[in-house]
Amino acid sequence: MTAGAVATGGLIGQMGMAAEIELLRERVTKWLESVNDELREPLAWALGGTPKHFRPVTLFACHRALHETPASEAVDLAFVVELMHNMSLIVDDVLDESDERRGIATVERKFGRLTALMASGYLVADAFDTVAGDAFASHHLSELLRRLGAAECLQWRLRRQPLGVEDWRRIAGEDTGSMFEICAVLGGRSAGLRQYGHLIGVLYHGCDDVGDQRGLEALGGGGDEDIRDGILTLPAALAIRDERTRELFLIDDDDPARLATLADACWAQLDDAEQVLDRIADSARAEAKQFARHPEPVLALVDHVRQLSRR
Amino acid sequence: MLTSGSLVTSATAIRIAVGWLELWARRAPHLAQLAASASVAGTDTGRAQAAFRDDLLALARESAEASWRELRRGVDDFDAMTRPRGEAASRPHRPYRMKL
Repeated sequence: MTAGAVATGGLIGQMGMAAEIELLRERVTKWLESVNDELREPLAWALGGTPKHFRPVTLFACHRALHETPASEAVDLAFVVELMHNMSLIVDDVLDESDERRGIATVERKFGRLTALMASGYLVADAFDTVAGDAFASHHLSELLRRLGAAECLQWRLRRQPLGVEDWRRIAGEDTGSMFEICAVLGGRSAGLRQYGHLIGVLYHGCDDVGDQRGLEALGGGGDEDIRDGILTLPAALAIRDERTRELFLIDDDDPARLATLADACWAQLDDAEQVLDRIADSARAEAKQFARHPEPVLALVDHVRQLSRR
Repeated sequence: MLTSGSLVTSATAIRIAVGWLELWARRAPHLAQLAASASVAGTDTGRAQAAFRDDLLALARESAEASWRELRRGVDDFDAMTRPRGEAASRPHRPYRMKL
């Protein structure tokens, strides 16, 4: 079992969301039976593996936090979020030329680039079709798609630049934050927990950055691609406060010595990075306490996400 | 409604002020320390300046977030306090048949 599966099993179990996630899986299975034969296999492949389900869990947690109605009402919304998320993963893997996702070959590696790109379009089409009668959901899905597209361009444009922690927050807020924000809005059917969702997304992004950095040291892999590509992770944003590290960060080459020095510099910032994450988690808790009628599930989610950097 | 509005506005202003005071009391000592390091010439000045900038921006962001949170809370409170209560109205019905 992969680390992702362990983390997810823990998340779903701890949040008491096995029933909701089972409903979601049944919805996905039913949908797969109805898709075009030409794309069924790649779509099943894209949604297979060991998905983490953090986004649907966020949506269900926000639903529980604001409503007494059964979770089955939110299953279709969780389903469309899952489709949109998988679309973004397929596109990410094409852009990054990744070999694996969730422990198996990416859709591009298995079926080719054309199929991968067409499958991503198919996911978006069916996501919008699912919520065609729900103007609230359609409006927010459109917002998500626009923000994800712009965030991808922003992140790439700002790579290998001498930026700071606040710039990292802006990138994380649009990249991961927008997805969790929309999950919170759709789950709550209101903007009440929007900022909470945003903060959970930024926290998730930051914990992933720090976790990858720890993996880089302990497991021999994880955050090395980000360092090589000059992506502004949270540890990198802290490390490049130092002038010499900043100069190394700005260079565009594959020199192993330079990359190793940068990795060490990022590693040295992990304690400071944890403090930044603690502050983001505190803000998320304040939002949950203030705006959730039943804050327990959304507070539990903050605690769970916060642990991810220490995996 | 005017009374409710005044009450909510005052409570929100007080909450924002208290929130800011707590935040600044917690963060100001470290920020002052960074400001001092950043203004003293030395080998680590650049690093201290960058750290000071990050912390100052973080404090400004958190202050804005805390204010925004309290303002939204104020609006929710005002909404709850002024929402009409009482018996549900009788079920609407058309008084005469329409030819469709």
